[in-house]
Amino acid sequence: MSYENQFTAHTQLKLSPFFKRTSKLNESQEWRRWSGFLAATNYELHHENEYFAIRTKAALLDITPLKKYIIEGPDSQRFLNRLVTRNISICKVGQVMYTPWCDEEGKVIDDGTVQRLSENKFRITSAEPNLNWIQHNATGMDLTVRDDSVSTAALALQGPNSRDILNEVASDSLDSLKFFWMMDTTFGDISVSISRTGYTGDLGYEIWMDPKDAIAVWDLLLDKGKSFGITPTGLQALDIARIEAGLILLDVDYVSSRHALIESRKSSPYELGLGWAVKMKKKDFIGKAALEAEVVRGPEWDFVGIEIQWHELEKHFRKAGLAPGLPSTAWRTSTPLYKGSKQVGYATSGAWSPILKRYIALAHVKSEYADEGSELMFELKVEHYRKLTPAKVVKTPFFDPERKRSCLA
Amino acid sequence: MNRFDVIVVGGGINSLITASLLGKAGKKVVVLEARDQVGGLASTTEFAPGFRCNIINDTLKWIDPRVMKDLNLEANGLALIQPEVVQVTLSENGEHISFNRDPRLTAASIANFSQKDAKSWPAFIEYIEKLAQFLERLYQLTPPELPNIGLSEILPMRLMLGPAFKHGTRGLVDLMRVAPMMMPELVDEWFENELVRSAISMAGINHLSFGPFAAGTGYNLLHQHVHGKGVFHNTQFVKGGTGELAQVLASVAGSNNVEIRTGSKVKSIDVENGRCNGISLTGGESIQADRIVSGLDPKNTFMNLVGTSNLNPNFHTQLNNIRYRGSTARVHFALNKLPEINGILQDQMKTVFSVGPSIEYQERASDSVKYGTIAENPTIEFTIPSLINHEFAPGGKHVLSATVQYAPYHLRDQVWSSKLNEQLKNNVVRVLDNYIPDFSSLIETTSVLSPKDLENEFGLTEGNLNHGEMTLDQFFFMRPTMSTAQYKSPIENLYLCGPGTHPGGGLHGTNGFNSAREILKG
Repeated sequence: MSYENQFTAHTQLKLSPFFKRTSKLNESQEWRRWSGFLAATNYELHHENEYFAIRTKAALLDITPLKKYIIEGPDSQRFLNRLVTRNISICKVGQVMYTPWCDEEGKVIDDGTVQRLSENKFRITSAEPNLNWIQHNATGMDLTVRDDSVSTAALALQGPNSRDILNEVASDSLDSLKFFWMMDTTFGDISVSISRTGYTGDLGYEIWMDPKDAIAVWDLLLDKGKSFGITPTGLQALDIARIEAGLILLDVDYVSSRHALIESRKSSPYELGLGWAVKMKKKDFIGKAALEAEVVRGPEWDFVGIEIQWHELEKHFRKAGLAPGLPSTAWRTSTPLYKGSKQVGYATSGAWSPILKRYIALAHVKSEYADEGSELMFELKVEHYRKLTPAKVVKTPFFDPERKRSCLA
Repeated sequence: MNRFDVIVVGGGINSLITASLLGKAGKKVVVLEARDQVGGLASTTEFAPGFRCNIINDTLKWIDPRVMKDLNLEANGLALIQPEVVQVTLSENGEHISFNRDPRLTAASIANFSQKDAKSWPAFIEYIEKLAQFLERLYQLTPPELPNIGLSEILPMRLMLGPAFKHGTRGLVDLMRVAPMMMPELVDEWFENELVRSAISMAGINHLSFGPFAAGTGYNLLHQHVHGKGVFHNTQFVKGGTGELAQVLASVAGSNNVEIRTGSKVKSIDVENGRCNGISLTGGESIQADRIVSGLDPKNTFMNLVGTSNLNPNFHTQLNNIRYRGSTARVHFALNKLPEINGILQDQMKTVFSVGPSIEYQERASDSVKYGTIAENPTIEFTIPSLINHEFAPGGKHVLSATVQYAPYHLRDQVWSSKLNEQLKNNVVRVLDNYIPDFSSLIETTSVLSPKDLENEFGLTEGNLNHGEMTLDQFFFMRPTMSTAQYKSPIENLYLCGPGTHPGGGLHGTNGFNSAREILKG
């Protein structure tokens, strides 16, 4: 990897505070747009090394483009409880909760995490801008809403060595920090918050900091992480990891109810496999009445993991005189799923999992065909021709290492 | 005991009517009024020692005949005074047009300005009366819940068949043409003289934040003439002052076993899981009831009393989008003697005078709303209520009350203050000086109510006297919002009865009557 590249192209996109470093490290100069920021697709010419950094070493990702909002004030807990589907009153200071939020018809608008920074202060992260929705629903409540998207920079350090690296850098030990909890610490004289969260389903952390400290933190991590195999990682590697972890992505696996042109594009949390995150015992929240009705009715769709069966897949290619063709990157083209001659669902993202050696995908399937073990047919293209090949509904996450949740102390 | 069948929040005209009708139907009802007297926009008070005024409305344009009959208002002491001259439109050069109950007399007055216009007059008022008859029927209806319209919504619509048969499709087409019109277009089709044109236009801009060139002023004009029985600029005074209307309604309510509590300010309508069963007063007291009816405007009812955290996001958006934008102010003058009005005899003064001598003058006055300033030359409607009710002023002295447009609630780079109230008063005095010689020298005391004052004193959002602008996008099934147009609301057990509902503002009581009917239905 060359460190001498100079990024000279002009861009209208926003540049993250890490850009001074990432632009020079990005050997491929492949970039994607993420929330108006320029974000690295991969740093090397192929993402494989970055992917394996996530699973076997430590991957460093610039996640500053995430939308972040600070909700602060006496009514902040009451407000968030009304906004999101999870029960925020049991979220302790220093705890983080993943949750979707819905419109009043119970259809998902976005999903993200809620961090309880103090008794009356929260940070909520989201894929898309949500300031208007948050402010609209916060009218009349005793709280302030602040867009924190630019005022806080963030890095994800993901992979089995991530804790060891942070223990080298941070003044406090990370050994006892539990999954979906966070702590404040310092890197030398730089204050940071570290949450044990991520989008990889692996042991991993997200580091939240003042943008003015961004470069120093980046340099420190790369320096101390060198012997642990720290690797700047782009979105392509992340995409495979998040599919293995069974984590959904807005605009890929579902459409925000705010943008859906037609009703059928909208999904309730139940239809996205997020029923566990809907807390019906909570007094009232946006969409509750509609979701209660849906529970009675039974959700129409389920969101499941499927595994495309290897032997049959191989057979299709063999017939064409080819070795099995597998996607080298994660794909996001909607792909039909059949039961007999009837289409009963569609896969929205899939990938060959290098670590599992399985061809996996995330799919919307009609509830009656969505039970674990259910056998469906997956549409496959072999040398320009469409084929159907068996796929089985399996449990997600596909990859769920024990280290994701375990603590050392 | 603090347990009622129905709590009515607010003690205005509609609240009292709803309460009475519910009480009459055997419900145990309490009315909670924040001020120390009931009546709301129909209130009379002493504004200076010895001088009384009708705080907001000097006249009733029309009153729902169903209310008159069902509550037997006449027998219960409501005395309406119907002047022969209903309005006098003043011109800057001392001439005027008298609008009379008898259209021939009006035509004769118009003939001084234009023979042609005088000839058109009978046909014009017949035309307006025809269109108003459609609204009369429409106003009796509860608007349908769209888009889920069913037989139960369509059946009551047969009320509309009466005028439709009487006036044919042509009548309906005319209504659809005139309602969205602007004033200059309407008068272009009938009249040539500018004073005549402007006199008609004044009805179209009544209490609006727009000028006569705004689409939909046609509808506002028709709204003023419902139940007008063919009298253009129909006007009625109440013997004893407009506040008497409220007093009569309160006594009728009392005889229907309605309990009225004044000085009881509701702090919140208490909602749990989308349902309300009680209210809390600012004093800390809670009162329970099966149903709550609010005569307050939608913003006060839902945003302030129910609380936005209990509203669905969509409904919340709809509420945010209701336009209030009060632009009407009231100025009361205590005068040391009866003013002289140029060209008007002393016995012609028991009426309403209007100052807005050309459509352009009116439009320019309305421009101030756009620019967030007080109109330099406002349009003014004034009366001398002390001529109608002598007890309004000490012997020989008089009161002149003016309704002034435009004085917008939202000002640019400034907020309402006593200094601006003074400026508003000065503008009114300067304009009236052109019509009343030496007017300023007659003034003993003045009381100014800006839209901000109206908001503070009467809880009117942005000082809007109609609880929401009277425009076509806030009409019928869209008033106050699509989801609350049936006098009920997305909050279970919470109903509306104020002017924010169909058919809008004015001291006519139709809202209260329709609301009571819906509440008794279920």
